[in-house]
Amino acid sequence: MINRNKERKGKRVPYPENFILKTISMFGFFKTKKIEDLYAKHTGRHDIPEALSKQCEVKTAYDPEVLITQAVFVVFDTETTGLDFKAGDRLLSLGAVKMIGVRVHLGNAFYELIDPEGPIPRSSIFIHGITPTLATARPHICDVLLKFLPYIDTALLVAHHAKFDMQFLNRAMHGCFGFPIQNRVIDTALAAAWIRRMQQAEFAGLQTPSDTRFDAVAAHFGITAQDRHTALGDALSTALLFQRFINILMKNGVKTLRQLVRIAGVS
Amino acid sequence: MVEIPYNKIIDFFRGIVPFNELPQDILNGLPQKILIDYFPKGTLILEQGGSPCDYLYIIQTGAVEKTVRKDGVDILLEYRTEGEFFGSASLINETGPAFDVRTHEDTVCYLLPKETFNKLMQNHVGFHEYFAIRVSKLAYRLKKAQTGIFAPRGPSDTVVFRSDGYLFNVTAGDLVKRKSVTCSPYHEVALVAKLMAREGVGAVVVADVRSRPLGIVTKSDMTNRILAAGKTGSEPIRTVMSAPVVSVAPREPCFSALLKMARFNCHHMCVVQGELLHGVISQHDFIVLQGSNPLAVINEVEKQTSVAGLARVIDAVDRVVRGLLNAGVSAKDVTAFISECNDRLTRRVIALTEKSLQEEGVGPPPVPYCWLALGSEGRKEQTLRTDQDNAIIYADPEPLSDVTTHNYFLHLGERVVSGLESCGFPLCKGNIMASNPQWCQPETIWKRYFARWITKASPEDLRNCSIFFDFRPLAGAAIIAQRLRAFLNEEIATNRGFLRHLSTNALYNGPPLGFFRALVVEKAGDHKDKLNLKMSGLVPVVDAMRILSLSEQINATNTLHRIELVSRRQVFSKEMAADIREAFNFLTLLRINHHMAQKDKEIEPSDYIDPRTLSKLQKKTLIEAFHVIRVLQGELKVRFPESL
Repeated sequence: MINRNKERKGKRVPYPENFILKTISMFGFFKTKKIEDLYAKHTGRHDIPEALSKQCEVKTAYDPEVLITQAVFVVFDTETTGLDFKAGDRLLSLGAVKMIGVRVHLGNAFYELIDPEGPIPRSSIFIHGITPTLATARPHICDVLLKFLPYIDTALLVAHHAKFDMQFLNRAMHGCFGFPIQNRVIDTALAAAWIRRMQQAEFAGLQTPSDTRFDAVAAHFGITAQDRHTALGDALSTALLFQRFINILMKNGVKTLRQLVRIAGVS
Repeated sequence: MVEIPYNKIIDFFRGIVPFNELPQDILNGLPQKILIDYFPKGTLILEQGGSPCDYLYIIQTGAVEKTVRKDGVDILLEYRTEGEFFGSASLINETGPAFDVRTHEDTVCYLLPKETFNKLMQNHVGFHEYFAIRVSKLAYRLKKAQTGIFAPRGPSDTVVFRSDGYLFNVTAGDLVKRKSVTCSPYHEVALVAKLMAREGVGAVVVADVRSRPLGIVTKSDMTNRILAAGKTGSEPIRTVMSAPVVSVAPREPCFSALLKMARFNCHHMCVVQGELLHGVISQHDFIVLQGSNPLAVINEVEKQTSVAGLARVIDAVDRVVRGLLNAGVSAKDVTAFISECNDRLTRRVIALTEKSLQEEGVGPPPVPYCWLALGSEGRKEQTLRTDQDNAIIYADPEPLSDVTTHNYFLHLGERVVSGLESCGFPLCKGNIMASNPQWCQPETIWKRYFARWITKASPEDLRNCSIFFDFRPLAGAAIIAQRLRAFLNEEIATNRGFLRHLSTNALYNGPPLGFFRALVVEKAGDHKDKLNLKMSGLVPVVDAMRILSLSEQINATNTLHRIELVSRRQVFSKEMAADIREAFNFLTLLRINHHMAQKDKEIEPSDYIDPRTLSKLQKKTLIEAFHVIRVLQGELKVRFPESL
């Protein structure tokens, strides 16, 4: 927690460039140790699995000066049993597609159903079309994360209202491995809000000025939803939305990851 | 990992030619290979002369425009929109794009990588063929744009391209219309110039005694190399001819001939079979060919002001029909097109004749009349130009046997029939034409004819019925024909026995099927080992549908239309109707194709076909068709039991 706060400060205070670089690399070294420690503390083992080792490199691999058009993004979405992870709601499925710059690589997609470890409330069955009997044959969340982490590698994560999904994912991460996901996260809802401020007129069609619900935003940008309410379908729709945002952002001078994270980053 | 649900994307590809031909498992695997890219309005996606494409771009939403740059001006080639693609030529030829592709609006594209595309090209014939043809079409368009046939794009106007299918279906040999004018290399220039003037040609081929082309002389050569060079007419032609000649084989498609012309920058080229001259084609021929789209031909008919002019248009009709057949258009559409052309042509001949009669002082028609199309023309089922079958019915004059009225219409009939003959419609061998006094009669006489045939029903009467009862008003006062139709319906209703005679007569011709559905062919004579498509296949269906229609008081004459209407009256089931329709269509198409093939070999078209020349599938379909006809005839037999 402490590290995180400091890092946020670092972003806001205009330190000289070399100082920032120094600080980041210092923290990076520190953090690598920290993840391994956290994992050891949580599991009582010191042999961190291959699948998790990438997480140790994420912070060092991140270069804020990389152009958005050359960065790798993993656009993802989750389906959950409910809205409140504190009240015991769990992940049901996880879907993601990879983007390199503006291009969505459909072949490089990720889609897993997850065993929610408990009864699924009726209300969400209706939305997702997944029934408890279907859910029993699914892998455990830890197994899914062991596949997901190598998949996301050191890429930036992108989701709509990303905070929500990250809460669920990180709770699972803590439960399984004792540390949260290290990758930077971009929220397309924040990006939409920023674009709205930039181009008030273009957003005239939205129901209310603050409407950042996915359907409203997608409809505004003329995105046809792909198999809505499956995690992968929603991830793909989000990717198509993000694709457009990148173009709009670039037109407005947002070119590097640093700029993107400042506008739409979640911390 | 759970299987990835990309149903929408798979559906999208399934809806696109030629992806729709790919097997299901290949389609399902397609999304795994695909990238999605987004291009805001105005993005230059491909650049003319840039690096070769790595992807086939398929437009998911949005639109792009293809333009070529020539002398600094952009010429719009075409727009591509949702479900269409671009980049294929560059991908296949591994060359830089031959044009710019720029987004016309915000556009999302699916990108199919080169390796995947090549794999599809290798493994799927239909896919390969589609792109092979597409690329050659594109090459032609580009050439056309670059040789400046089309004006460059101004700020607001756009050049719209017509479909150019004919350029790929029509061969250079098809374009040769007349024997080429030739001369010897030793002829004087003045003589050749006279030859040009007399024959009305723009180019003369210089050939040796064995008619091998040595060179070509055009009108522009005459001006540039003789007059402008200050030479006299006594110069031998070989000193001014262009040699060697640019030549093309008769089998080569038109577009390759066109490309050759563009490459050598010439207006005329020789069609050469082996070493020998076959004919000459000019750029003008291509312009005419471009006009040979169905609509242009129909309009051309309307424009003609003389019968001689109409006779010239008829060649274009043939060309279009050939194009339609090659393009795999259904029998229904081909015959509909032929009928439409023939109808318009006939109407035009009638109108022109009426006009010239008036100009000659004979005057306008004394009473209203109606020109009747009979037989296959009445049914709109002609294949190219079949024999004339027509008649004139005119309103009853006062008195009925008024000679001047009769003479006027007879005169009109004679003129129209001979006009149609000069347009290539052969005269009717049975003389069932409006020029025959017997078939150029007032309404009352026609009604008498019909009534007599129905009550007497002699073999000759029945034969007449099969021709005359399919009458259709083609020009003039249709109301007279309608009255005749109403009269016919009444007569049939009061003489139900007549239909039995007609039915018995119709059952003489049956499908040539033996035991175990084997085809039966002629045992001896000129048509040994062949079978008659018309008499044993088409005629039984036409007859059966005529009888059923007369019985049900259906006024339609077209057989397909009759099938439709009869099945609506629940005379037989929908499935049965579909079977009959299919059988009839198949036989019609087979017959037209057969005629076309015979015409190519310069054999008199006949309806006899040797089943051994058919493909396995065609033969199987033919047997099925005959079987359906047999069932139909069985139905007829039950409905109209043989008269005693």
